[in-house]
Amino acid sequence: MQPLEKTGNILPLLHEIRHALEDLLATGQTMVIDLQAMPFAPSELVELKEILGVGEVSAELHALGKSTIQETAFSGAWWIVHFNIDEKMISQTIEICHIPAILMAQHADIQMGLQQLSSTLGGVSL
Amino acid sequence: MSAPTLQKGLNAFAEQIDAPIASFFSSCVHCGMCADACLFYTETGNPKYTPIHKLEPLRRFWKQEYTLMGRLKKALGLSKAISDEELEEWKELLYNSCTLCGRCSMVCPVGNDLAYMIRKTREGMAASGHAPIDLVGASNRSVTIGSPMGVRLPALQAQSRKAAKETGLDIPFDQVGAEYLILLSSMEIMNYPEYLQAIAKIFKQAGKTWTLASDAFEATNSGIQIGVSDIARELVSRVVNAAEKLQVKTVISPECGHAYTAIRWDAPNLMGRKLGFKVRHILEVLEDFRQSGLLKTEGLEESKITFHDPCQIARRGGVIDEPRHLLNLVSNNFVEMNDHGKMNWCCGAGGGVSANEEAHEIKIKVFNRKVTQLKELKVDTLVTACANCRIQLEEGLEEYQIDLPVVGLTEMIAEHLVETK
Amino acid sequence: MNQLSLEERLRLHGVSRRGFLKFCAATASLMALSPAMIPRIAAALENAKRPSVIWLSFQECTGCTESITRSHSPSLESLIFDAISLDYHHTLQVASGDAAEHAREQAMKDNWGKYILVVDGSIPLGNKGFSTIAGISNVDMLIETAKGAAAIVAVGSCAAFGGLPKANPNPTGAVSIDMIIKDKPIINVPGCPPIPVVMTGVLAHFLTFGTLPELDHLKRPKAFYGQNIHDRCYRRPFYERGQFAETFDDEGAKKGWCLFKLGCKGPTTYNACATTKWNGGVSFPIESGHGCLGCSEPNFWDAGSFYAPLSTPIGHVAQNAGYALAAGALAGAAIGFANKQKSSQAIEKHEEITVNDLIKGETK
Repeated sequence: MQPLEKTGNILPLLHEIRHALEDLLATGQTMVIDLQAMPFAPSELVELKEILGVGEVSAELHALGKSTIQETAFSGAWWIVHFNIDEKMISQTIEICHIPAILMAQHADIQMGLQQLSSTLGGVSL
Repeated sequence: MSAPTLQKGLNAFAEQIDAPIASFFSSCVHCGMCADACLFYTETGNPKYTPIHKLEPLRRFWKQEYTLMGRLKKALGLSKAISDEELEEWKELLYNSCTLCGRCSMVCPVGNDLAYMIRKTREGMAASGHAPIDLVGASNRSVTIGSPMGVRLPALQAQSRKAAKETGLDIPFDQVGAEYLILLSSMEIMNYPEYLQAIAKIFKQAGKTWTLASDAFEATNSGIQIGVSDIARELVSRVVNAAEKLQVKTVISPECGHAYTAIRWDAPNLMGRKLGFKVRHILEVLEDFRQSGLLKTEGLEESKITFHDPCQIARRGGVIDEPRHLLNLVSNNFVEMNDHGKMNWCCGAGGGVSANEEAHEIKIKVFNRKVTQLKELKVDTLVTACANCRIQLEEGLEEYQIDLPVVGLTEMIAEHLVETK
Repeated sequence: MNQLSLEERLRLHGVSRRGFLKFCAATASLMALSPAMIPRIAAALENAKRPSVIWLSFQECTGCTESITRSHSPSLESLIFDAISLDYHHTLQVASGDAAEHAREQAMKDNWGKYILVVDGSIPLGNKGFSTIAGISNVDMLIETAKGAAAIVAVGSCAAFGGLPKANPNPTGAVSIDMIIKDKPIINVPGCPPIPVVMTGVLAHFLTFGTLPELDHLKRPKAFYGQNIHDRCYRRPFYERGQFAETFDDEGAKKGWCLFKLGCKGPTTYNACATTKWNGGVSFPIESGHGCLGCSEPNFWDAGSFYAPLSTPIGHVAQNAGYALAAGALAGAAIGFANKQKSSQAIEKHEEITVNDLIKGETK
């Protein structure tokens, strides 16, 4: 099978990212682009990834399956992929923000961790 | 009496087309899975051996006579009529390269019983004079002499005397009221007299009464193989009448595949009535004995053995667990072949192929399938429960220069009986 | 256990708040909701209680259940289905016989007015006896079970539109759910089978908002059925440029050109296949090289050939085909009768064959 020709959706998407980065600088407005909601030829996502490139930060999350959070070569634009516990992709997005919300520690988790730490310390005499 | 004609053949096709045939043809999805189930295809790679293709004459007849489109096409000359030349060409496919083993029927995703259809197509082939000459001869001998191999009663009586001498036991003939009627295949009378001796010993130990019938000792049925129900009925009615005259409770089919099919499944349909007795394969009876504690054996076979499931007995007869129980009774080194049981590969000589000299070359060629199975196992002894399989196994192994003894299961059991005297 | 909220249950299973937020993000994507909705989804799911679900299967092939149990959302079994209480499902439940029917009655009693009724398969009205469960006809069971339902989800084209059983000449008199139940909210999730995540998405929406999603004129959730396949198809640019595959093996087909001329029903079919895709987002029919059959549209089976371009007039063809079929059925019956005659005539003509009648040219 020969490589398929393209939908032409990459260019407008790149423009959308550019506008979103401008907004982030100007107003602090964040944005999420759901890549699963728009059509791409099979080769186009690969191409998009190549154009956006790899930036400074790369993180992996392990909660209900793996997630990869990769800053693109354009700081402030993040490529985020969530997988489920069966390692199937469940969502693929580009987020425009200072730091993706999913990386932030959550109050409930901090609380639970704190409890555990306290009980551990309570059982050990210093 | 009259000569076979194309018209009679076509009439036979029309007689044979029943609801199952019509629904089988109309539900075929042309997937070709039956090809890989057939050893005539797998061992030759020639697509003409695809089971559904062997049915082409009957399929076209059905299409032309029973479907609207087919009739139109025939009327418009778009579909060619069935000719004598075509049937002669198909003879090889329907007789020489099909053992009615039924493996194709097992894999058909829409449940078409292809073996049943081939058996029915043979009716038209025989009626139109396109049956192999050797099968005609065998049928002739069966009807006129009483056995496809020409075995007459005196030959059996001679073997019986020999068996009586060997075992020191009585070989009963025509005993009214005996519990079991024993049938034999010609092959067992002429080539494997051990079978009769084994029967005498086993039934003696079990304390069961049995008998042979002097007017119906032959279990095989050439009518089934050649595909002439009239002849099949004539042959099977001899057994049915003898069994009912002797008032036996059970008729035992010997170690012969199609004989079991003939008496167990075809007989009531051919006779058009319920039979006055039960029909069991000898392995089923032996297993009954074993379960009731009537089969006492001692010692175990030391060699590594495997079992070749005869198609008609295992696949179409369902006698699969019985031989395993019996083998494990006398062996602790029994191993299974790949695809054993209901998916076992045919020996290559059933369904009339062994009696058909025209099929000699191909039946040896396709025996390669069995050779492959056996090579994977490296056994010392091959056991089976069909005299016809046994002949082919022995001949095939010889041709492929493999030194491997072939034994009938019943006689193997008999050799391990605890002496009770 | 039934009283715990979804988040509490997840936490019991060792899932962190962060994991829960990830699940909410995936759910938003699943429901085709704006990512801005994630906080709202999280807030709603934190407090969601397990609704009871009763699943009835009528004239169907189990393809819908097959499809849904292969759903790949954040692991269907552990999450979405964990978040509901599936109290009755012929195919999946362990109970059988009286115990099974008892489970259904008990769930109805305990959750009267609150449970969700999921139905796959059409209902035969030609003769009630065509399809029964535990001796109860499909139509009776539907009417009885629908009475206490909060809403009904008709899963698959059979339940939504009558589907294959209803195709001409509709021998069982099959009808869709909404032909029988008129006084309950009904959500149609058509497709043969429907995309699994669409089904999960509808359940997730109900869990999240406690309401039904927005529906189109055919009662389908707009989030999934709002756009047609064609508009979201990656092959759409070829259509615009007039580049079409003419056969399944020509150069155009190899280059992945538009399948319109090969009968693709994408332009008139509203479904999410082109973006959500199948088998965990691997592919969808058009990406595999075959046109869309239009399986999520009413009467797709009778809408002309799957391989005739949409520009061929189908209205009259379908009607004429109906007449032709009716004529064919009559002709078929006539042939059936003639065929029976043929076999019995053949049997009458049978001359007994003896062993002397088997060799050509030998007449004795």
